[in-house]
Amino acid sequence: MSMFHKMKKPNIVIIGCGHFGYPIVQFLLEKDIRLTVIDTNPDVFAKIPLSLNGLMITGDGTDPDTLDAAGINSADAVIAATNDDAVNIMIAQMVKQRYHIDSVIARLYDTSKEKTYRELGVQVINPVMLFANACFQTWNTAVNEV
Amino acid sequence: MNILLISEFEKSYFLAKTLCGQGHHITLISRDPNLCQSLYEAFDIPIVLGDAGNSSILEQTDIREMDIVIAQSENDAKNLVVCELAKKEYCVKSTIAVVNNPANIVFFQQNGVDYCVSEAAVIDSLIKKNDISNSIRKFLPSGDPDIIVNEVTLSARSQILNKKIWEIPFPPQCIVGCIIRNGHAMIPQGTTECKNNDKLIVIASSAVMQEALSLLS
Repeated sequence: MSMFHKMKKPNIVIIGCGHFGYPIVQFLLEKDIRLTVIDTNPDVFAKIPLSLNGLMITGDGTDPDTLDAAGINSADAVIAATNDDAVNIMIAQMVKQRYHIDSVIARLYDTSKEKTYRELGVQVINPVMLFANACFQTWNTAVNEV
Repeated sequence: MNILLISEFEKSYFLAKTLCGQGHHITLISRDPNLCQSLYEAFDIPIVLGDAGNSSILEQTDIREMDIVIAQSENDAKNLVVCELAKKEYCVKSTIAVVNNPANIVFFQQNGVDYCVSEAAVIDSLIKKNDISNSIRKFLPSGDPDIIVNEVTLSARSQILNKKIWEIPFPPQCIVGCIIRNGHAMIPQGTTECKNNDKLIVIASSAVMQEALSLLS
């Protein structure tokens, strides 16, 4: 039996490379993964180093043709990180239902919609609530240390 | 009926005018202040200026009392989310959404949109229909006024619904040349069943066409 197993690199698709998505792309570039970035604005790709191990696709992430071109079928995980809550939710639902990819995360700012979409099986992350939670924990730790 | 209209389109003026004229109670949510002002001045209806993708804006209307929500914004994702929220959070009976990308119509229908309206799909189907009838005309003997081609759409009340072609007592000099079902054309066999919304291309001599049409009604 071979001692060496060539592990397949995880294939991650990130949709939206604006002020929220770009730092995530930067973070993931340092990981040993295959990355595909989709954005409607081709100018955003100028910021991404040419060393990117993957694809940059200009297109609308809610359009099945764009998702097909990005090879969404072979994705291990999808991150919907556009600046529009509705677009992120639609992408997450579409990727789950049409392409049967379970690992899909959508960024959401409107807290009132969170519960509804969690119930529908969409995994949502609200950066505002994450920050508020982190602040609370920092404050809590400081109080306990006194 | 209580109807919530969500739109940024100026052409929504005509939809609002038609619905108000029929005695419906319209409420508008729009991000466009000009549309808000023109509809308020014309019809004196409740109006909320804001983004309907946000639940707090939806809740400024009597959304739980709405019979129909019409999402007519230019953003497909927003139309979908508004209809999903209307159905699942606020128990609205019926939702209608504009779907700009026809590739997403089935996806919308699977996720709480009762009726999808797609300009692109409508125009595409008209062109296909035109192509089919043009092709049929091409094969007809030219200048023969005795042969008529007619297209009939079967309604839920049609007497031949769920009947096989061979079971329908068509008169002589009459055949169903083609059936268009869900946008796909097929050549029917005797065993082909007629379904609701099927479009039948009927070819018959002028003497029996009326008789054939009354069979299909």
